[in-house]
Amino acid sequence: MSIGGLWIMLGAYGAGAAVSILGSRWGNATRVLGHVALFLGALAGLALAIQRLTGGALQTAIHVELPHLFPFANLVLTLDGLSAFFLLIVSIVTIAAAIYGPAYLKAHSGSSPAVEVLGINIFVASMALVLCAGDAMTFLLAWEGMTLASYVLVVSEGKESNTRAGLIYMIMAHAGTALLMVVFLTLAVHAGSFDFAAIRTAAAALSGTERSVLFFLALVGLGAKAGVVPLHIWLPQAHPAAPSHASALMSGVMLKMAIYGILRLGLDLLAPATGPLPPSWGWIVLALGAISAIIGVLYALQQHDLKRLLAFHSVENVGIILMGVGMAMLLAHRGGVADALAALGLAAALLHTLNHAAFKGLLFLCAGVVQTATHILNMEELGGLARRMPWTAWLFLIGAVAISALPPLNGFVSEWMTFQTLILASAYLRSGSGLAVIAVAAALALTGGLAAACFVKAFGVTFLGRPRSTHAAEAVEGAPSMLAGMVLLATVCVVIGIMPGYAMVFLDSPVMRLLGGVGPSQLVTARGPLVLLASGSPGTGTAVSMTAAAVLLGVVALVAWIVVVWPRTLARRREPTWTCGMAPQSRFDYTATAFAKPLRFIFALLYQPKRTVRKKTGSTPYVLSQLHWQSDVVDLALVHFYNHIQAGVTRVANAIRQRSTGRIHDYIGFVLITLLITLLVFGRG
Amino acid sequence: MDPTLTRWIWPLVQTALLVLLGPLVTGLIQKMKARLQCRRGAGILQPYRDLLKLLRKGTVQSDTSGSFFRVVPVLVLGATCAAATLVPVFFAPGTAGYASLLPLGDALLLAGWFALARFLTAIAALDAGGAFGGMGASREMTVATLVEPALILVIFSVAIVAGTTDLRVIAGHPVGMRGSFGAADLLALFAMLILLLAETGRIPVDNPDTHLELTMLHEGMLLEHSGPGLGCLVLAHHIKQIVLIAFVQALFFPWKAATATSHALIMGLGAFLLGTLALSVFLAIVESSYAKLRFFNLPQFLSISLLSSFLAVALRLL
Amino acid sequence: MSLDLAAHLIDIIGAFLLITMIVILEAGDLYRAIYTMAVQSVFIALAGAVLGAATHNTDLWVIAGLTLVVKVFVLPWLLLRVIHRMRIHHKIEPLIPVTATLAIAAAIVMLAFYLSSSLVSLKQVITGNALPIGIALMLIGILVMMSRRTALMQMVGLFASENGIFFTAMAISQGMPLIIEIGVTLDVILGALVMGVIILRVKSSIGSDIADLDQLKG
Repeated sequence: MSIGGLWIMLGAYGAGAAVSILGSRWGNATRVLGHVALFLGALAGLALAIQRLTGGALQTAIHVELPHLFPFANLVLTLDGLSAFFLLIVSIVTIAAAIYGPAYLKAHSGSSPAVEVLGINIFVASMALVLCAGDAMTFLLAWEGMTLASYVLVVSEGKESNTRAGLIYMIMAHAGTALLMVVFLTLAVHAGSFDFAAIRTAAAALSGTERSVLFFLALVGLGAKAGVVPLHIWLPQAHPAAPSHASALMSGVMLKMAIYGILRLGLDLLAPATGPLPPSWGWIVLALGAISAIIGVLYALQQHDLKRLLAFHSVENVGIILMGVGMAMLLAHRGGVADALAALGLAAALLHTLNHAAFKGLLFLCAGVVQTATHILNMEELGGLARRMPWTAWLFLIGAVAISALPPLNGFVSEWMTFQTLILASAYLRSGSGLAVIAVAAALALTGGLAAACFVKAFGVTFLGRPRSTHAAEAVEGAPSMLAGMVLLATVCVVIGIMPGYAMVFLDSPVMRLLGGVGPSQLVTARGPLVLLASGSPGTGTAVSMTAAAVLLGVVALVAWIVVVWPRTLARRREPTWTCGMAPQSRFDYTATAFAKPLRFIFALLYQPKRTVRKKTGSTPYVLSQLHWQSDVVDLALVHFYNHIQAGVTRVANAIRQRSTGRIHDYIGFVLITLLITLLVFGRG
Repeated sequence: MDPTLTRWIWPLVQTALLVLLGPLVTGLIQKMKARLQCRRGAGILQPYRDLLKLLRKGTVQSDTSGSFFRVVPVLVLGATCAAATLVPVFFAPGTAGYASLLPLGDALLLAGWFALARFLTAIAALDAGGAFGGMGASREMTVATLVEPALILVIFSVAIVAGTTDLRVIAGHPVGMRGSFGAADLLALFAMLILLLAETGRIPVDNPDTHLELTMLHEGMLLEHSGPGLGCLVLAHHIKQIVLIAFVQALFFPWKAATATSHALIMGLGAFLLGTLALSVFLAIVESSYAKLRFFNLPQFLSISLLSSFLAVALRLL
Repeated sequence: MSLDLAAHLIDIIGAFLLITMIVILEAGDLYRAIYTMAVQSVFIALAGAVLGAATHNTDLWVIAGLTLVVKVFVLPWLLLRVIHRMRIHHKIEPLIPVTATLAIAAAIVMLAFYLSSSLVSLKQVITGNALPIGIALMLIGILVMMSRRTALMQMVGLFASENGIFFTAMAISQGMPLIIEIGVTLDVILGALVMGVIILRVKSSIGSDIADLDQLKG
């Protein structure tokens, strides 16, 4: 399957979109058919990606040139190693979402089936097109399509907060796209054509400053889409608003499109023809990664809404991915040990991209099941769900263990590789640079600890303890199709965690495409597919076998179970929990706010929490009749950055409003003056 | 001996030794504390008797907790035993014999196993739906957040010179080969001793002898367990303590046998026992000399170790 | 004692100095800060003695003895006497949050290393980490003075900074000339006496600490 695969995939998504338009009155059948088309398209994409990734290391890209659809550009579709890897990620999550979708959407009847199906098919199709774009015009068109389709999904449920979230999302996404357009148009003017191949050769002739300016503009534009701090404010509002499988796609896959853009521009299109990249690129990406990781997880800790918590965690994981990308940019093409370390760093970042898509997708789908069953997403009102929804609880636990980077699941593997890159690079760089890299490693360790704390809270308060509302007490398990989608993603998490060496084969093609040199399967799995090896210089290195670790854990636990817990001769009683003699109620459970209080106190400098306490006393000042306690943690970026910008824009807008006359003659006069000036300036010569 | 056989024997023997000696170290520390507090104290072998007693008892389980609660103790014990395979006790072949070692894992996986054990214990603590478990879990996870970066920095300060994070290779470098025991090592050792107090849950971070809800971090999470499940968790705590002691020795006092001759092995084992005794005395003295810190003063205390470990790395690199 | 062995020993003593400095910085209690400063001065005296033994310079032995007497016994006794007379609360409140103090101290150490690498042209008696550690100690002592409320902590910071200056001098040359050392020590004792008198007078006349004097501004 080569060129045909691309058409089958796009055709399936198109069929899904067509179904939604033609069958807009078929009700649930539209949903099911649309999602079947989505499923088939994703399967085709998966097969195409796997075939491309395993079919030889440096196979030339599949090149499809379409006849002139626009007067000034050809549309080119290519699929090289990097695109194929990201297509793999898109397809896996889409398959799970397609299986999950129909039952979820049926239970949430807030939107019309046609809109849902159209939205999601176009969304995934445009993401696939972004990956397959071989020229700047296709890239930008598909990028815009992705934004519009996801906007439709965000506002599809029609609530007031969703509309507001959608508005902020549109503003930030379009600001980012505008910057991207500036970058691509500049490059296209230099190269004389929109084709990526032409751009690549022309960019080699750019001066260092021009190159860096373009890269940083693109970084800001793509960073807004990726959710890099401080451009992340749309994420916690938009991702929870969309339906859960769309949130899974947005969080798990759409953010990765921005990472794909950064990799494509930074390491491929804008990179100098020979020699290392300018060091400022790598350092800034590394710094952005560290800051996003810490800020993301800190704000995630203080959230009560399950989906907002997960959205902030996406910011954190994008930060971790950027750490690996930054290391790769810093060390690329410097020769010797540095090249191997750059490949290791890029492999770690790409593996984390895949891992994050898997476990974040799983977590969002679980949150969707909780929402369907209880109609509440506020953790403080849930509780005790593990007894009523055991499958969802265990699957959420797998996702939580994976995202906290705990062995033996997949989050640990990519974090291990990132740590190894950081430590080996700091030993290679020495002096101040090495110390800065070690500081980033300390930041990564801090985020790991904070993420684990956050997920203890999220899982414990939501699923354990006693139900704190009637909705939670009456929850039922999700539909089997929803569970099937979740089980698929959980399997991916477990398999990559236990046998990561086999995933290295998929990383060969993208890493060698971007960095040249040796692929990860020769570096990392040099001692066989069951052992991961990270080495800086020949003769030393660290080897870990995740398979052996998982087997060890399983064996010891099993032996302990048999010896200790299994004998049935010992008495077993069930009694109510001791609560100092009072009858246990749900109010004795530790709340999420209380759980996060110590960290709120320690990191008060970064949170600046506001606390208001109002007391109303009765007849004497010693008797309280009412106590009102309120604590707020506001996103600091919002307060210091965006509110000021918004105030400034509003001021300018007000000033203009006061000066506008409202007469049409004045506006025609403005048009005339602009035309005259334009002709004068550009019409000569 | 057959090389493939020795590859498997060393981890097994060393792990078994750690598992068996774990409760003894706790008993030793309790006895020393008692003596310092002018009491007679229980015998050194008391922890073994306690574990056997717990194995023979029945279980009382809270009616709000489910099957998950029963599985957690064995998983925690499994994770801690897996961590015990990663530290060298008396045999560390160094880079020369590196290829012959089983790729069981490195210091990062050790930290990961402890993090998994802590995660599972904290979740089980929330399962019973009481305030003790919730408070203990919240505080334990907070302390873990402050301890992790310092621990990683300590590991890295040693790994930079050794070129690897594998403890069995690090311990195989005699100190002289790594550059003599210098300023950076001292700072890292100071940081690690504070972290040892934090991770083993001893005064001034946590009080292992109390059962008042406001003064316990680790004990709070164990409150709802009983019978064999509690026995597993207590054994895991003993093993974690001795693994951390072996970890400190591997990083800073690595007098291990590099070859498998009986002479070298006996010397290595003797050095390990001596080092364990010294660190136990240190823990007992610190526990008897200080009071437990108020919880919200803990970040200030733990930041000493963070700054110290960062300076150790800075001295190494600059 | 050879110069190499002396350099190695002073390197290790430098680590102990840094450790005690960190404890002073993060101390929550006046007693802990004063005792740690005394321990730090013991280490400085040790360093002086080691260098004196290696270079056979009797001046260094005198300086070591002077440091031992003055900064380990006399000055801490003075400070403890002020505490006892004033009956002040011995908890230390930081003016800037603990995390910020931490970050600044780390930045100071890195700055010290950067500075010392650009001062390479100086011929050092003790090469290696001693010069940057000395500079860092001096600056962190000033950080302690800046970031704590009680006037007594400012004195402790001054003495700790003094230790850093001595250590830097030992690293660059073989200690400063004896007359300068004695002069500096006398200045420090005088400063301590003056500070002690002022604190007691302020406390007895207006009943509050020096740190609250910022309420006097117009």
